[in-house]
Amino acid sequence: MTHKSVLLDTSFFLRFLNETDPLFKNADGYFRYFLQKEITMMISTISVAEYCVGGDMNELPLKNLQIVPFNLVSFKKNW
Amino acid sequence: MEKIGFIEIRITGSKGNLDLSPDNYDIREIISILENAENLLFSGDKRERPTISYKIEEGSVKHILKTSIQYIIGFNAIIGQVNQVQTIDFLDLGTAKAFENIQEIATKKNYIFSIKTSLDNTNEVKVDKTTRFFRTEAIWADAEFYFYGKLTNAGGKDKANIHVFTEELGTVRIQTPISFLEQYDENLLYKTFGIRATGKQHSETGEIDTSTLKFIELVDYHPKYDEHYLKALRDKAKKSWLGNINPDNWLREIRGGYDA
Repeated sequence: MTHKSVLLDTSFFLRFLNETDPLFKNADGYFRYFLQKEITMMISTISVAEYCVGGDMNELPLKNLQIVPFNLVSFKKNW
Repeated sequence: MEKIGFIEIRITGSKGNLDLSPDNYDIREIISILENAENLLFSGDKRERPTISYKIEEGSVKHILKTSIQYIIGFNAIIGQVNQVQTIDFLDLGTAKAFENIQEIATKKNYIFSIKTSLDNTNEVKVDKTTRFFRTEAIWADAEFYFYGKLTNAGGKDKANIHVFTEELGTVRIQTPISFLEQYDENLLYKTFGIRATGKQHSETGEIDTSTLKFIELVDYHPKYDEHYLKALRDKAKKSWLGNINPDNWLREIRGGYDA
């Protein structure tokens, strides 16, 4: 089965951005793998908002990610 | 059964004191009808469509558009449904817009449109100043989008736009302020970017009305592992807050009882 894209959640970034986290290596390994295999990595604006409760948007690797906005239609699809 | 059929768009009305006829019917009105008729029959990609031929007849003005019978049968079902429910919200965007354009002409010029097909016992839909074939506004919700892909075109004399080739939607055209294109020093063409834009999205189907897209900002997008870039982000994040939290506890706290 071929994966075209993956959606990364807030908890992923909490590990990926902290080199001392016990799961850092796993998160970084996945991140490298997705880039190497050209699997598009996505982040929802919900995760961006959640991350920004504690951190700042400028800490997220947005240059490597495609942003998925949360619109009315997303609400209908997900609930 | 014939392999070719036709749709008939009959218009009755007047021009000043004269009844409408092909003799006083302007070519611009014909152009408008032809464009709308194409969208009525083929709302999406028109490259693969069969030939549509045309003739104009008296009575007051009759537009006859011939094409493959298969599409005429489909169109007959559409006008039957439109006539029955008296709404166009269920139609694809292109067809709905064509109905709206015809409704606007009918209201503005006090014309009566009768749209039917060559089939026996054809359905018929009438559009005049008393009908209201407009999409319900609320169904087209304001939305924000990010389009990622190569920029294939940028510019335009008065109404500037950029074209982005996306994997999902093909080429998307986004209205862009001339002031942005003027000030941007680098050549944008054939480079991959993200474009943040606003526009209308159908609240039921998710379809994007691409004619409403307006540029907000250009977003850098380089899906490559960049040690320096990521190190800088990690330093910033750790210093500001990540060094001081337990991620599991933090997430549990902000999500309350809900855990994704």
